Order: sequence, then C-alpha cells, then structure tokens
Amino acid sequence: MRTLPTARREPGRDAMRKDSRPAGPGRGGPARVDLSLRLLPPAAGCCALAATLLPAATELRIAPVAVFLLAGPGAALVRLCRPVLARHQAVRPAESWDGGFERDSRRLEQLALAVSLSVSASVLCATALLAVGAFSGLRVLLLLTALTAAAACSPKLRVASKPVDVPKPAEPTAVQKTKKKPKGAP
Amino acid sequence: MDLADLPASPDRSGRYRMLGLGGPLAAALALWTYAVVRTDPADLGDFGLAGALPLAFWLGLAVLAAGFWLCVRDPLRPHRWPLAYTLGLLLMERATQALVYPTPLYAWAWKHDAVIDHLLTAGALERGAALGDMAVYDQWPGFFAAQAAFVELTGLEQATAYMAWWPLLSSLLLLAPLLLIYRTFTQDRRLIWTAVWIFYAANWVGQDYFSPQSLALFLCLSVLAVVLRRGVRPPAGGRRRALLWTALLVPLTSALVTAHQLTPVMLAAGLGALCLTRRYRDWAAPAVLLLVFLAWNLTVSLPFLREAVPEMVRSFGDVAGNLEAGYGTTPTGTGPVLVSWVSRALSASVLLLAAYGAWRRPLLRRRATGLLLLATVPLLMLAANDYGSEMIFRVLLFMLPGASFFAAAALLPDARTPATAPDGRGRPLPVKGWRFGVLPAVALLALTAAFVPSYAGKDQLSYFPEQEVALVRQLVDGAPDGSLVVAANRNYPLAYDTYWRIDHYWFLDDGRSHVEAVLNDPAATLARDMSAVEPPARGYLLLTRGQIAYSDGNGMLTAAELHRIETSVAASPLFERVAQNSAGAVYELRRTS
Repeated sequence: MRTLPTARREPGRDAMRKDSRPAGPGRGGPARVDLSLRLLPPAAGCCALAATLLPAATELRIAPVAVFLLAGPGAALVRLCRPVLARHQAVRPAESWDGGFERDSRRLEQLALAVSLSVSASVLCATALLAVGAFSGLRVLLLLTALTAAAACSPKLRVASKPVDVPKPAEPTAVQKTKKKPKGAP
Repeated sequence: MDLADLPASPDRSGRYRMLGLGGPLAAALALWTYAVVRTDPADLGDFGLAGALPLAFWLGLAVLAAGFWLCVRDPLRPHRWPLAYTLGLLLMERATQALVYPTPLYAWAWKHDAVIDHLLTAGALERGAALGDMAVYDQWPGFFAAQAAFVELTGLEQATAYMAWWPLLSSLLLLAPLLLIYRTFTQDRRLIWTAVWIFYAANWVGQDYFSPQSLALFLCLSVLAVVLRRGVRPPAGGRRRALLWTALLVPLTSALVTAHQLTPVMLAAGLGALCLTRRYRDWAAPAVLLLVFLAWNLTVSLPFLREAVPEMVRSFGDVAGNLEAGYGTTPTGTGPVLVSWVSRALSASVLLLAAYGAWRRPLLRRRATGLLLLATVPLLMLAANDYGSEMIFRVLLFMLPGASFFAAAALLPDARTPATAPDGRGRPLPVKGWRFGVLPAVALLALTAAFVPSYAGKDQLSYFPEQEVALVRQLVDGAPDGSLVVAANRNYPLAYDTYWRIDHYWFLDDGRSHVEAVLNDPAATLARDMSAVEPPARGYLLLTRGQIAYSDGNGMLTAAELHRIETSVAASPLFERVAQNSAGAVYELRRTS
C-alpha cells in the first residue's frame, strides 16, 4: 500500500532520531550479514589475486581485478567509518517534501566515497612502489588486499554516547522561516 | 514508501505507464544500434563522425531527449527513469566512437599508452633529463602508475586494448559525485537530473579520453561533493567531525596531486572561494590540499617546475595572451570552422542559460551560493596561465558542474514547495504549457544534438585507421636504438612509442623560416635535420594521413604542400622508401659512407 510522507518533517529532529541509532547493516539484522559484508572486500581482493593466475587478457581475469581496484579498498574503509559518518549531519536542501531523500543521499555518498577512495588507494600504492623502484602489478594488488583486510579486521570507529555536535539544518527551511516571529513580537 | 512511489498519472495503468516511459528509451537504443552498425569510419569527412552518422542516430538522439523530458518533467518520477535515460545518453555520446572505430582515437591517448609502457619497462620513475620533454610524466605519474598496475595484473598487452572505452567509464565515474553535489542544494528531481543531462551534453571539451585529467576531474568532483555536504564551519565542540572528513579527503587529494598539474590548482581555487562564504568557513580541506600540493611540487615535480616557473610568472596577469590560440590551432575549411562555431555556441548557450537561471531564481542562488562560486572561480585561471593554449577549454570544463545546475534552473519552474501535507497537498506538480513543458524539451534537444559535432566533429583528425597503426608499428619495431623519426607533426598513432630509445622531430613545430626551407628544398633540408644521427641508429621521415589531415584542418601546411614534400623526398637519392601503404609512407635517410 502506498503511503504519503510525513508532512512538514523537521529535518533536524528526524536526523537526530535516525542517526542516534547505530547505522549500517548490523542494525536490527543478523550479525552474519554484517560479517559477510565485512569480509566481502578482502575476499574480492583474494579473488583478484587468484584471477592473476588465469590466462592473460581473459574476461575472468580482467573482471575481478577491475571490480576490486574500483571498489574494494574504499568499501572496507567506508564500512569502518560508517557509524561515525552517519552520526554527523550533512548539508541538505531546504525543502523536505521528499521522504527518504537524505537516506538516498547518504547511500550515494558512501558509494562515491567507496569508489573514489579505492581509485585513490590504487593510484597512491602504485605511485609509491614506482617511487621506491619496487613496482609490480602483483605488489600493488597485494598491498591493496592487505590494506583492505586490515580495514575489514578493524573494529568500526566508535560512536560517542552522546552527540558531539548538534545536528542542525544547514539553512533554515522555508517552513521554519514562515514560523519565525517578527521582531518585537512577544 | 516515499513520494517517488506515487503514480505520476493515476488514470493510467502501470503497464501503460511503463511502456510510455520506457518505450522511447528502447526505441532510441534500437535506432542507435542500427546507426552504429551502419556507420563506416571510411566515410569520415570534414564534419567528422557527425557527418558519417546515418539519420537513425539523430532520430535516436531526438527520441532519447524527448523521452528524458517526458520522464523528468514530473517531479515525483522515481529516480530510476532519468537515471536510465542518462545512461542511454552516455552510451550514445561516449560509446559510439568505441564501437565504430577499430582503433583508439586521439594521438595524445596513444602517447599516454607509451608512458604506461615506459613505467612497465623501467619499473621506476625517471626524473632526470634523459627523457627530455617526456620526463614530465614521471613527475606526475599517478594515473599512469595505476594503469600500469592494471595492465600488468590483467595480462593485457597494452592499455590500447581498453583505451577506447575510457570516455564512457570516466563519464560514468562522474555521475555519483555530480548527483551528490546537486542533491546538496535541492530536492527537485527535475532540477537535479536536468542539470546532469546538461552537464553531459555540454561537456564536449574532450577531456574524458584516456588521460590523467579525466581521473583528476572525478577526484576533484568527489572532493567538492564531500566538502559541499560535510565541510561546513564546525560548531563549538564539533572539530572531531571536521577532522574525520578531512582525514577521508587526504587520500583523494594526494592521488589528485600525484596525477595532474592543473586540477589541484583549480580545486584549491574552488575550496578557497568556498571558505569565503560563512557556511563553509573551514580551512581544513584547503589546508590539507595545500600541504600535499607543496610537498609533491617541492620534491618529485621540482625539476619541471624549476624550468616552468619563470614562464608561468611571465604569463601571469596576461589575460589576452593566455586566451590567444596557438599556432596550428586555427580551424581551416568549411567543416572545421562550422564545428568550431557549433561548439562555441553550445558552451555559450549553457553559460548564458546559467546566468539567466542564477538571475531568475534568487532563492536558489542564495541556497546554492557555493555552487555559484565554484562555477565562476575557474575564470580567475585565465589570468594565471595559457596552459599550452588550452586554458579556455579547461576553464569551461571546471565551470560546467555549477553552470549546468543554474542552466537547468533557467529551464524549470521555481519549486517553492517546502513540505507536503499528509493528504498529498503541496506536492510539486508536473510542468505544463509552452514555457515549461515544451521549451525546455526543445532546449535539451538542441544542446544534445550540438554535442555530437562539437565532440566528434574533428574525428577525421583524431581517428587512425588500422593501416596507419600498422605502418608506424613497422617503423618503430624496426628502428635501431637512438634512431630519429621526423614527421610533419605528432598527430599519428604510436608517435611516442618507446620514446626512451627513439627520438622525434616534428618540423611544423619549428620556426616559420625552417618550415619555408623545408618547403623550398624538402629532401636536402630534412636530410640536414637528420644528419646528427650516428650509425647504427637511422633517420626516418614518416608522413601519414593523420598528420596531413591535422595540418590541413588547423591552418598549418595544406595537404597539397605536404604531398609536394613527400614527392620531392621520394624522388631524391638522399632517401629510400622502406615502407608504404594506403595510410602513408616511411622514407629512410641513405647512409653516405
């Protein structure tokens, strides 16, 4: 059944309510799912390593390597930081008629971060190995897989028991503006 | 459930609606597939690919743009529809060349493949003078290093195996940060997706090819997306938040700084401008960027900067000089001139629309001040440097994310609705009428159509047939170490192949007097140019159709003049023809002793 979003949702309060709970797949779900998601990036790294044993330039070799380099290390790092990141309020549009908008933006942000962090990690690892004259594709992949495994094994960044900064709308919404009392009013 | 799940037109059945929304996309892709199969790269003329594409392609593009507008005009339409149309646009815009041409486009992309080959061969960075002009790539190696690792891990012979698909991949990478940036300022789906469409339709500058700047733009937009969403001035006691986000930006800015020269400067200018606003007055992100930038430029890239800084200082503030077109960049002939004007008109239209949008929507302008600043601050770079006569194009590229947003705002009605009542009252309604229902569709259609000649109108210069690749490959493989390859210009494939063991000389890059000398007595002058080559190294003259097309289309020597040079060399006893096919010929300087 279709439902309409709550009218005149107060973004600050809504975000407080949502974000005061631990975020991520572990919330309310079985720990097994969380563990699977946690192990997925390093497993993808191991798959990529194994794929390098396959014949050169085959799809089965290219695909795992490309997927891991594009998303693996970043996904592990984002998972590590997710609870703390979800706790902090982002700048949002002044409108609030689209329910779920902020949730979707947060997911999009995590996707963008996962990819950009992965690409950056590949660039930096490869450059560092070239700079010290120890470059090889396999070393880059080993380094990235080790980094991903370390991030996956680390506990998620701890969430403070109470908010460290008060989330507030980036800009007073039009609703709030209309409710603002005129100067001199009691 | 959210508003997205509400039926846009309750009187229609779901299946009918699905057909109405998805039908144009399916039809456009079918027309595009037909057009790709029917396009023959041998038909390239003065208008590049734009002149060779059959009518089906243009019909497909029109159907796609109309279908997109049909979807996006309803502010409650689920995001998956405009997303599907945007992906369709990217396929038609950025994958057509990869499917039509059997070899990768652009001599510069081939050069980047040579740099990767060098890193794989050397296994280390070479910052000395041994590599000449090409040493600069070892001083900003980030992009090439990652590509070298990928090539080695996948067992591909060269990056040319996937280079043709890079424009599609690099454009896809931009989608998430772009959406995130626009979603920071509005919930209006029409505005968000129209801005994305305009960005892709107006991004004709061609920096999406296999290059460091394509990756750098993605990293730059990712940093901006994070800063615009998270980089607000921290409240009292909120420093931890700023620290965390700044820490996450360190890998991104570091990778950016190692990959490209100009993009970090553009990003620094953008972040600095943001810090001028009250909301974003937090210096953490620009400070981190500046530290990484200085650390890199004062160590790894110092050899290049030591030579380049005096010239940079000279050109600083010389706006007219920085805007001047360089030699060999003047479009010549009906096709190139027309294509050049279409691309100018496309960029000018978007910028004018953006200015009108910013003027017409004061509330949006106030809310998205940061984006407006990001759209205008690249203009400052025109005063800084000419960047090899390319600064104007780079400035346009970096203005585009912000300009597209306000250009979309110019086409759409103001969505003033702050919130929706429980009974659905107050929710935004689909746009209707000529002003907002039809006119934006026409504008989007025109911009989308103008993209094709702007982006692919010079493909006659950028495309190298397989015969041309084979000819140069034969030359490079057979040339002894230390040989010299002389050519008219560098517009041919594999121009820099094994550049660490083969030297190059492009005589049209030389002074006008020397070019005149080559024209007056081609064989003797070119033989003199090659006289310093010591055996067993050899001197070669290479003339191919790519060089001739580039020279002719950019106001250098005409095709007739270059053919005259070749005829003279072919008839001279100083040279011997060692290879020839339909794409060109190779002449070797005879040994006199």
